[in-house]
Amino acid sequence: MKSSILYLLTVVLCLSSECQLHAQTFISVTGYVRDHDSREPLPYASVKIEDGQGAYANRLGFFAVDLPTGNHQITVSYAGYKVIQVEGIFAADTSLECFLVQGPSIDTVEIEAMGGAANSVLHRLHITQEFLTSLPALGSEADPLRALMVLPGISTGTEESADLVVRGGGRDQNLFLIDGAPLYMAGHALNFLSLFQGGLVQGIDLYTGYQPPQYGGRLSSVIDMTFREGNRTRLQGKMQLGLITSQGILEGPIGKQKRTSFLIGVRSTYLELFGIGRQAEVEDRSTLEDDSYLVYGFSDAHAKITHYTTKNIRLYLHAYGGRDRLKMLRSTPGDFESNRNFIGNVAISAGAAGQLGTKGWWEAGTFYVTQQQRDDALAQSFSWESIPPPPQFFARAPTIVYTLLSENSSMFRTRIKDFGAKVLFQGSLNHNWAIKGGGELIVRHYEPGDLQLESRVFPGDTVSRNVITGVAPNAQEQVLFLENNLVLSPSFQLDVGLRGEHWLAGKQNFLRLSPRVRLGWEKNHWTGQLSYTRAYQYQHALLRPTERQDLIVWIPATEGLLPQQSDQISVALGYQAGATPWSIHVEAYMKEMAHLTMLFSDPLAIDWFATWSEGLLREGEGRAFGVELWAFWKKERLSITGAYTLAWSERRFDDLNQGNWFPDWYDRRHQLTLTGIWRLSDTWTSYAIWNLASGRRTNLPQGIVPENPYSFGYTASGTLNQDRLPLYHRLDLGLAWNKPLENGNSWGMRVDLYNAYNRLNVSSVYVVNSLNDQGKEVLTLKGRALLPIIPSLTFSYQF
Amino acid sequence: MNRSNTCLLVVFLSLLLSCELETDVNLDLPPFEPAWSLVGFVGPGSPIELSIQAILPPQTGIQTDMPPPLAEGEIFVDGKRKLSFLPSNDSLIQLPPLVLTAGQRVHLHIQLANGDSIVSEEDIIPEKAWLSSASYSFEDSSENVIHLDWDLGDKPQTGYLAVKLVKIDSLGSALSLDETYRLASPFGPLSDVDNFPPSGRFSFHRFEPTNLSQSSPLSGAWILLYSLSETSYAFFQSLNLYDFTYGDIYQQQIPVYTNLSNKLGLFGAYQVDSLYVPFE
Repeated sequence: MKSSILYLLTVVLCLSSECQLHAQTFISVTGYVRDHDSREPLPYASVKIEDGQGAYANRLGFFAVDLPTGNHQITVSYAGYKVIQVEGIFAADTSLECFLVQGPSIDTVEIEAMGGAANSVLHRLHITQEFLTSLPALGSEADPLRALMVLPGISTGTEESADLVVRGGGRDQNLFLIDGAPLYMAGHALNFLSLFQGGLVQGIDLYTGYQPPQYGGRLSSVIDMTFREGNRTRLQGKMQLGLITSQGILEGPIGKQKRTSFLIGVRSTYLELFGIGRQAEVEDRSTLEDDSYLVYGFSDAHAKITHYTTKNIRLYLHAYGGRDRLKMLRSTPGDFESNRNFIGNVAISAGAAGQLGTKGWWEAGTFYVTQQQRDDALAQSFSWESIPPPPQFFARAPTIVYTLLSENSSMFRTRIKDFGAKVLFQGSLNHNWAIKGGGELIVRHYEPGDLQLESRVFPGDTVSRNVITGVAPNAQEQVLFLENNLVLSPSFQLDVGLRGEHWLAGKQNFLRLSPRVRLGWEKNHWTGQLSYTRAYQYQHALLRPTERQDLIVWIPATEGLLPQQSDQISVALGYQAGATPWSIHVEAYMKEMAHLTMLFSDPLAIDWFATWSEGLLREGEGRAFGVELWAFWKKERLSITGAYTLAWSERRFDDLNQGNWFPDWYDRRHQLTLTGIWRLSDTWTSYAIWNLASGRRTNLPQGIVPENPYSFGYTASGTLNQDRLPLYHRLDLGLAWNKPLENGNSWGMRVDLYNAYNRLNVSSVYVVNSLNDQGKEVLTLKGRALLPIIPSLTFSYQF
Repeated sequence: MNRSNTCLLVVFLSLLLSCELETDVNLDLPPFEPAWSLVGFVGPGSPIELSIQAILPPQTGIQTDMPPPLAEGEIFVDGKRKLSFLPSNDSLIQLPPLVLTAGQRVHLHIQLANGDSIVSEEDIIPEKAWLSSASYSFEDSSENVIHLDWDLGDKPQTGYLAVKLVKIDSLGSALSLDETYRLASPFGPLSDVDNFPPSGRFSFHRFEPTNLSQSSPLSGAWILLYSLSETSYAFFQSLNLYDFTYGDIYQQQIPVYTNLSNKLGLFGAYQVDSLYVPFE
């Protein structure tokens, strides 16, 4: 890795020597690109001058372009909108406000670069709201995270999971930001759906390779979601009624000056309502038969207010709250058990942003995030007596009288709370040199777990209580970062950045520097990129390798538990055809990770959150490399996207696999995703996604080692993760109908088929022990397949 | 809502409610290849035991062949042959102790009658660890619970440690010496010395049965402190990891560590220190 860095720096120095500055007079043209109807910003809109030079707007639609004085034609464009052109003589610094009108475009994901015009290479994927709401999805839910999984280099942890595994990283190594607030989980319980309604998200920035220095704290990826501001010109809304969830969005202006807007979104499941009667039956135990009941539900709500001052300073306040409920009841004549799980997420963020000086930019924000889980369990034992009914004309069931003998209850709670603030400044020292810098302060409060146990024995009501508490120190994180964006020549741009991080947990200090370097190149329709990113992660997740886990308990890097570290080099090449609408990008990466952890505590131990240190494997290493291919083609009403990844991912822990390298559990060699969107007419659109991927890694039993004086009998299964689950493939289909009404409102209906040909994809394997005719123990291998064909239907009304 | 929409809704709702979210499918087991498992440990002054067994095919669980007779077995110390043993059909082979010192390298070579061989990687005899004290501290007469404390003292220790309790009943001869000293899990604490507790306590019922006696009250107990080689530690630690993950459908089972050429079992080194605590 070190030699690679030296080579990269050598290349940079050589290119710098060829850099030429031209003696011309430049002026700055700044402004905003916004939607004409709603006045919402259009992120990363393209602003080009006649020679192809120019800039992209930032996440909030602000742009700044340096031009030589003189006559120029400026072209402003954005996917799905009509292009506008501004022509005139530019003799002094100028400010523009560009309002784009929606056009009949079906552009999907834009692949573009951030910053100056000298590069347009894939290092950040920006996913528009239109794209993520147009894909077929589970339960007809436009799901932002599932939309990311059609991109190369990204796969799920397990099939039923909205967890992301990016370029060989871990499920806990992705940074999810919603309007600047970092979330600890992105999916609702069981991870079938992500925490956000797709209709509220304006766009998602995804960084899997080069991470700009303003981002940090996670090794694998950054998923920066910006939520919409709401329509500033008129009140509008959308109601959606589906089989699994229903949701509503309401947005509009506040006041008559059209400077303030609000956006509210609520969503809830209602499967629980159908089961109220069944729940009562199980709780009553009115019959002497075994009975059980399981129900799951969630609800979430977003609210956002955005205000633009007279000086065009943007102020916002965003609040999110979500709650998941899982209830399991089981009764037998002698026992009753109930488990109720709650997961709650809250994220509140507020911030301001605006132009700084003639063409600079600043942002400031603060956030509060909390995540908690509570598990309540109750186990009761009864004696019972069946009292026959009195003789009468109509036979009645006997009355069952229960007497409570004992009762064991427990309440477990785990929580993490973060409070932070961040500032960012961006400006130009000259037209070839821009800088971006800032700082961040985060205070983190950890409560790994608190378990209260209570036992009662009747008669007499003898009570015993016990409390187990997991402890982890609180932490502070202070960050300073700086990035230089240098235009070396009309074809080359160099981004050089450094992120300095100080972490304090208990009495343990860590001071780390994360260098980030990116060399971008553009010539005609070709683009290229070479980048290096070092990242540190100061939090460890108590994760068992393949366990489907609804909530992760986080602990800080502290004494004896070093921060995770990654170094990644990536090289990319892209071609964007001019006249024909197709593009292709290829990117290769190599990543090394250090100080990884993995939990192997007894899953049945009730105090695992307090004794995690005993079961935590530390100082693990990881390495991943691969090639990603991304192609896009569009013709009239049809667009097709293809993503293919060829990848390797390995891990090494001293206490696993005899200290040798082994394939990671999520090491999928091949992964192919084909996405098609076909607009059949102005009212009908059809969608399809086909996934094909190598099966996840596993171990299959090869023999039984009999019990001996030194060990219990166990299953022999070769080296760790040497086998694979069967090939994974799945087709999702969708059909949407949208009928505009004369008054501007519209009706919509959407039909989706998840896993259309009902492929039983195995997500985990297990062995069944049984005795054969000779009384010998034999094993049968079973695979558990989740999520068969699932139809869904949604009606919507938009006003 | 018109009739067609109602029909569509009913059809989809019926399909959705009929979906089984979890389905089990049968998978093929990998082809079985006959193999042999061997587990044995060697320590200075301790009798050597080797347990050799045929691996059972998972599909049938039936031992298709009798264990092939042992053609020849040899134990090497620092590359030199120190002990040879004769053919045997027993699954448990008992050999006399060897004179060994810490730092010496040991390995095993076994030739099976069918031509197969089992060869271990070299293991290093670890430094001995020392128990400072072990004492019978308290008996809760109402519950008949005995507490037994042990302490490592201040003497520096190295390597990987494991502590074990062996209970002796009032007959006094409940356990043979070999079995008392046999290195086998489950242990109390097991970890590298940096994370090993300097002292600890075993709590148990006075009338808990020993291996051989079901009812006699206990008369005393051995506290055994094992110093494990890195290889032996890895074996027992991987057994723990395997046990943690066994039977959990959502967890991957962890293969058990091996240092043998056929990838099944272990030939490892250890030393042991012991203290006997009589119960009054």
